Amino acid sequence: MKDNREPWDEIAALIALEKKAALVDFHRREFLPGALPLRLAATGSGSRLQLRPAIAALAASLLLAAGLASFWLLNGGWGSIAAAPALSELFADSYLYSLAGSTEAAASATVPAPAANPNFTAWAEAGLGRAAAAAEAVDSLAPVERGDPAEVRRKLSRLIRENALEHLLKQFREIHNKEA
Amino acid sequence: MAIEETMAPQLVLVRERDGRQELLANRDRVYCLCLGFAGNAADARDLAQETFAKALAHYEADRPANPQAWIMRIARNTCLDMARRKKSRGPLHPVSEWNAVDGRTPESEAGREEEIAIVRRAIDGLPGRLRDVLVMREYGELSYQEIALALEISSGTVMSRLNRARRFVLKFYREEHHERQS
Repeated sequence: MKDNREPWDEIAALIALEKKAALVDFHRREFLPGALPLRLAATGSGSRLQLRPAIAALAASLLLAAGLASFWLLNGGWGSIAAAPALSELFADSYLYSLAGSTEAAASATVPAPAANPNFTAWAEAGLGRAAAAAEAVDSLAPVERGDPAEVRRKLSRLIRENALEHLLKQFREIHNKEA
Repeated sequence: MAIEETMAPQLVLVRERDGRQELLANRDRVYCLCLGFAGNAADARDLAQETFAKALAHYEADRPANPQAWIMRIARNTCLDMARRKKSRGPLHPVSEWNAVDGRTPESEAGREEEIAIVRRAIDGLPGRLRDVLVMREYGELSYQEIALALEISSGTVMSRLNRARRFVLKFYREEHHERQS
């Protein structure tokens, strides 16, 4: 340590000079110790704002990846991807969904329906028929009106167990094969 | 009991005021320490201000046994956070700041400023553990014990790291100086 002392004095003198110059400037301006510096506060909040979308995008990507991975693990591949549940099946129990359906039906009664592809019509009718059958089977409206989420979950899982969605897919495939 | 209860808020205020004054007494040292870490006056000012904002906010909750070492540790952590957040603003003090010291002219100080820049680069090139100790000692003017307390290491480690840091800076300075002269 002592060997370094004398040569170090030159460096220490330079550092002291640097500090002295900086302190002159420091004392010249007002110092508010209790407040966060505006520039830092601005950059801090700005960086947080910039970071938020990036974090959201990352989280969304992770969720998507996890969803795809779990789908692949459960189904053993992408072949059964078309077996994803139709909206009408998923919301068959929903009171609001059925209300929306009735208002749409009323609206469609006044507006002439556009001409549809006969294959699509057949497929849609089959799907709607299946959904109606499933809805009848589970008798779902009453518990949902009472707001019983456990019951809804039970019924949804029953729908999945009964392979209602797979039946719908099969019909779609048959129609598709006929068309082909 | 009733008197104590009525006096309690006043005692807290007095204690807060004393603590605040004790902390503010270290204003220049905190600023110099920030200067040592940040390398430029503008960042050092912001860092000192941020350090005091944090310290004053947590003083009552933490009640540090050694306020000076405590605030120096806050300053050091604030500086390291800042370094992580963004790169340093680069140039050292503008020339106008140097004019203010003892009426020196920019011309006469140009060489000195270069030498300081060399020292600055040497310090920036130090490994973090050595730089912490050197900056606390040379810029913050803390004793070995205070550095040991702030960094939660032994005094022996402080001395050993300080010795290594000084050797590194000296070597760098001499080499750079030699290159410039030759």
